[in-house]
Amino acid sequence: MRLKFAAWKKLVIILGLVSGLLFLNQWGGEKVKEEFFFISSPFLNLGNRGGNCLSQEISSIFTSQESLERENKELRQGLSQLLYLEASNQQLREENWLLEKALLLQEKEGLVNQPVQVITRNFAQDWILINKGEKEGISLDQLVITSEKALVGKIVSLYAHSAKVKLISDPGSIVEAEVLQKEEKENSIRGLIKGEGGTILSLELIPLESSLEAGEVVIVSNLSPDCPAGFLIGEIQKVKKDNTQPFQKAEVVPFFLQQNLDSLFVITQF
Amino acid sequence: MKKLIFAFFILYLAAILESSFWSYFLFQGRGLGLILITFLSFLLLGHWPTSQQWALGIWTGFLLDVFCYPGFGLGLLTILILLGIYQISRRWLRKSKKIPGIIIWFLALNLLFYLTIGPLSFLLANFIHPSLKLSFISLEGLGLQLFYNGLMAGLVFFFYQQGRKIFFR
Repeated sequence: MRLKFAAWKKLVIILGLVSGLLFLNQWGGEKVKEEFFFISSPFLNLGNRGGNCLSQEISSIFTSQESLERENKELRQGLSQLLYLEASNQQLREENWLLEKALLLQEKEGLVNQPVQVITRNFAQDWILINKGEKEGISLDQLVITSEKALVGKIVSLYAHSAKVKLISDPGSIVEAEVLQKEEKENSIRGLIKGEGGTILSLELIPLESSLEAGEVVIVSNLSPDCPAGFLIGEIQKVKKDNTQPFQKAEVVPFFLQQNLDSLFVITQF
Repeated sequence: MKKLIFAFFILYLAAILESSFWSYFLFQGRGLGLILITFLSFLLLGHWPTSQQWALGIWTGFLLDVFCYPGFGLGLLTILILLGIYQISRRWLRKSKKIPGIIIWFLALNLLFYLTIGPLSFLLANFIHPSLKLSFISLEGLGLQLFYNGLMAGLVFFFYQQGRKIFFR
């Protein structure tokens, strides 16, 4: 009998705790989270710095290995060296052209930015937390970009000294987009960028007759009502064409993943 | 009691590391579920009285709610469901002491966690608060997540067992 009573007591405690936490959703739950993040922020910053350093070190190791392999290949294939150089020059020219065009598109007048730091990131749920909030003049629905003008996301929750940013890869996110094609064509390709979750983007509503290629750059289109045109979105990784469907799709890797996500900018006016 | 406080501290450390350090090491866009790995490692490798298992579960759920999931209660409820199922299933299935057995337990509980949290978020979003709704996880994403978590847990279990062999021979 005593055992049964103890089990009931435990059940009541657990149920009370769960309902208490669920109750927090209605009143002040986000405040509790913000306090917790504030207390943990020195450790989070330390972890961010460590993670950033180590990931850069690891990527530099892989990069140097790649270049050594390439050098070795060049030595072995001395005869094809000229051909190789020509090919890589061509690639550089293409890259340069794309960057130039993207930069021209990004030069906006009257953009007011507020620099912010990332406190924590959760790519599985497609959000990040930044270190400035309501008290620093940040408002809901403001856009967040990287220093290289790649679109990161939108402010969805606001706290006193921090704010939550939903990434463009969140499944609820939709952005009007345009494809920067490698070869200049008469009609530009426009479509919709939809978040697929887990930092994956999908370019949709592209007519079947449009020629999409992997490696092409996707930017924000001038048809977008709540985002300045020209911001970089991502690079097409895979084109999915199905002749039975009226439109084709493409998988897009967001640019913000390739860039420094520690320091970002919130567009307060555009 | 000291063991429990130590476990609480390690779980908090795991939450900090998951949200900062490990967020730089994504596997095909999936981040490591370090809080869940740590909790399941404690559960599968250690010997805890039932009340302490619930205490660990509540703390893990709270940390998941603060650091990983929107709103409050989703992580906690999922962990409590997971823990309940684990305790019931242990009556029929024996807890393995070998790494492959522990990994199978780990993967099954991991799968259960990710399969539970999605529908639960939809349910809570409808009845409690809309912010509790989670992003949809695809089958591919689930597979990748299980692989990444399983790989890391495998390493943890292996080093734990080797450590025990060296220090408690």
